[in-house]
Amino acid sequence: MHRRGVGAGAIAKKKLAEAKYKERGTVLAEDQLAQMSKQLDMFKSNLEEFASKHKQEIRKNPEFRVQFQDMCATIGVDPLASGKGFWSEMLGVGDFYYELGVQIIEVCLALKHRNGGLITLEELHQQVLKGRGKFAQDVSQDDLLRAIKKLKALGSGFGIIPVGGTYLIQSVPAELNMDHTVVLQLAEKNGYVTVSDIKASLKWETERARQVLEHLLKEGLAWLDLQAPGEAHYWLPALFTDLYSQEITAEEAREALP
Amino acid sequence: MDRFVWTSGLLEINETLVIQQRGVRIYDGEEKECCMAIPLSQIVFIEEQAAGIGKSAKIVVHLHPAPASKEPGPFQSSKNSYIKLSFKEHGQIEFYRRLSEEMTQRRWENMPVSQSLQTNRGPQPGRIRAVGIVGIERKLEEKRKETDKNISEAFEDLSKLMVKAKEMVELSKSIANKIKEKQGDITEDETIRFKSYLLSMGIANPVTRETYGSGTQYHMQLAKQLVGILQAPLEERGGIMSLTEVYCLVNRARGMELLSPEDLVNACKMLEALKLPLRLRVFDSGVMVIELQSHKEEEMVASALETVSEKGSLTSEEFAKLVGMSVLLAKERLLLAEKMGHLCRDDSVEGLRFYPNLFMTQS
Repeated sequence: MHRRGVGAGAIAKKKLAEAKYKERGTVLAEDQLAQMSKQLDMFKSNLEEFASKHKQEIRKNPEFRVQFQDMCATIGVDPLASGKGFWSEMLGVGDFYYELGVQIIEVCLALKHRNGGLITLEELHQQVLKGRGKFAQDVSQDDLLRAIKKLKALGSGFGIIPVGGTYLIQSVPAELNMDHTVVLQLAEKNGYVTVSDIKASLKWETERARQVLEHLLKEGLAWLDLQAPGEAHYWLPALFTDLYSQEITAEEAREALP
Repeated sequence: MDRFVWTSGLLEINETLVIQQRGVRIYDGEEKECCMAIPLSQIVFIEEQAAGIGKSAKIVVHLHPAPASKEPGPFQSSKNSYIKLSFKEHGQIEFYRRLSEEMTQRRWENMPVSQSLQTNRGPQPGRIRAVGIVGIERKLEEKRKETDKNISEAFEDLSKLMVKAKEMVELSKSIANKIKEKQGDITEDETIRFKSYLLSMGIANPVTRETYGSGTQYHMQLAKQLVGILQAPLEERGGIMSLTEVYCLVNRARGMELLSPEDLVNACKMLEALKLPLRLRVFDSGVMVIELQSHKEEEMVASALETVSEKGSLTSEEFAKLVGMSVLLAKERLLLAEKMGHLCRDDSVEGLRFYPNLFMTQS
């Protein structure tokens, strides 16, 4: 080439430099990936060693499980994200929680016609333990909560609502906003709530209270008792622990699954 | 075994509890026997006898001949000069260790003058009782320490492990930053590798914020497997199942190496892209379902309309029972029918009821 624009050489040189820089950039990422791969292998064997010594501890000791989960959360790791993860494969934590998830779904389905899809953590715990049988490994309430948190990903409305020191577990996609939640919390004390209760404790207008209660009725989460002394009582079957110390009948179990 | 004397079982004034172990059977020589006390001063030496098949571990205790001044005991004479302690409920290691220590220290030789064994038949019952409680407390304390030791070892190991895990998290962030800098100038291969590393560790993908390395090879394989597993059940259930039903079905079938909810969701998200005969559908309510490709929910709506018209009106529960669907999916179908204008709702405290939309049909 005889004719070159001014600075063409400089541009060419720049392009070459850029290309070299990019190349180096690629090499850097490749290096880091290779490093990660190596470190991953090392970590895997560390985890294997840990598992060989303490796998049983995790299996048998609910407090240790809590510590384990909390530490993972602190460093930004989710040991339950995937069954294919190291944690799941080597510590067996995955199978434990995922199976628990199945059991939770089944209990909630079986009792939905009674409580509209809302159940206390205690009740759920009892029913799950019954279902698991005498010889199964013990599960704690903390275990249930962690399993439920994972179930949210399935989109069928699993939710956890804090009420009076414990939790209500929602298993239907009913919309429950702050107002509904607060009324549920109020009802937790006696198992029911009235419009007057709401007005007195929450300082709401009658209309707002009524709307919330109607919504709970519509969703099947509350039952209306017009024969109560004084004014109408809105009962929450989810909070009837005595009623539900009974077993799930075979009929109910059959009806639950299509 | 004539070296034994009767005792109250509580600690005497000059006695301290060294160690207690339940479930120890005492053999007079080779013969099995029952419960009493022997002063340590009577012991010549001790040796361990390992456990065998069907036999508990034992400690053999060789004894001096009984002194003339010995207090009464269960036996007047014995042909053996040793006893065996058989540890039916384990604990022999610790017991042997403590007994050996005591044999070395020989603390009884420094004790203030006292007969070889005094059964305190006399007064001071309160005193004795207090000493007895101290013995029990000490036992509990030791047990607690033992448990604590186990837990704290596990906890220590766990902490060390977490430090290493945190390094992995930091490394993944640094790689993610590199990727961001290069602004997409990263190969497909590298992306796939990176995602699978994240999946193994349970680290959220820092680049795309996608849940936990979605779209990896693993999920692609899983998606293909799901087709095989779900084809028949779907056909049985009218071509549609909620994701929770699928989760239960698949995991019950697997028995072990179960899928996490996220594994399932991520696999299902790939169904369409992989052109598989199943698809994932998300309703407005957030409910997620798997449908056969051949399933046309909109067509099902037409038949739903017929059913509702026949009955005049139906709630989700009633419709579900009639058609043999889950209430969850029945509700979604009726809602879809409403969205398409075929049904009208009557929303009261008595529940949500659907009617044919006469506004549409009767113009």
